Amino acid sequence: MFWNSDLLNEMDRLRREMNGLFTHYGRPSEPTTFPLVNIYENDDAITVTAELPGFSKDKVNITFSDGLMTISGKREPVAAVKDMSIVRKERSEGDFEKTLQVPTKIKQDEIHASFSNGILTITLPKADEVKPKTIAIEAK
Amino acid sequence: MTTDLEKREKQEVSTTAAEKLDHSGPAYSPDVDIHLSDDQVTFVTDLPGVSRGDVQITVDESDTLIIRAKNSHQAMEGLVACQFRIGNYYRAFQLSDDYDKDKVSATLENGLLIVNVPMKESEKPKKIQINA
Repeated sequence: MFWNSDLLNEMDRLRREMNGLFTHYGRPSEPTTFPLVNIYENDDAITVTAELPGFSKDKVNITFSDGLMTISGKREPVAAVKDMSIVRKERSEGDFEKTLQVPTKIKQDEIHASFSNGILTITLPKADEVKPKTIAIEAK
Repeated sequence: MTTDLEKREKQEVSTTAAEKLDHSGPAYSPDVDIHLSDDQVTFVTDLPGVSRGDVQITVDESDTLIIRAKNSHQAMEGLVACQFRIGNYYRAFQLSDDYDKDKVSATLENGLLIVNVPMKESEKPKKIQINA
């Protein structure tokens, strides 16, 4: 299983996203769609982690359909500072939607997501038919 | 649907600043919003991966507010795409004399840190009664 620019693609801003992912690895990259994600893969599952500080689990929507996973929601202004004036703004707010193409068959009913300290972790278990198989060699 | 919300990967902190960290490994500069009112300044800081108890907030002798945080989120095996790096956080701000560095308060919830620094009582704007 290979993740390359044909298989793993952000539906919008494809090229910039790909440049950020694969040519600026380990360096500050061009801005990309919120939230930033890291993707891991092993024989059993694909795991997507996303930085969503300040979010609770009921403020983020995750959908999976036809091999496309979408993370969406709205980043609201922080209530505690709503009446104060802004002197520096680095954190962006507003609606977001990020779609990733998952290049392998997934057990859709077993997708699992959890939130810990503002990091979302989504586990997508691979379908049995795409998992690597060990072939036993019979002795004659 | 198009979306305008974008995110730039955080910058690595320079070596001199990172040396002051109590924790090993690279440190990054988290995104911060600064808000001001008549009687306080508030720093809203993104610290994804940081648990309560892993943030250290200090004001040093030169009135520099320093936020240090240990990231407990761990990378896994088999990284195939990377948009964010995982490390500790470090950010410093110079406070003016008007602020009361003994009354700094902070909350951390879901990886979002909010630090309040009140103005000194003597610097707060005063309401002057107009007598009839």
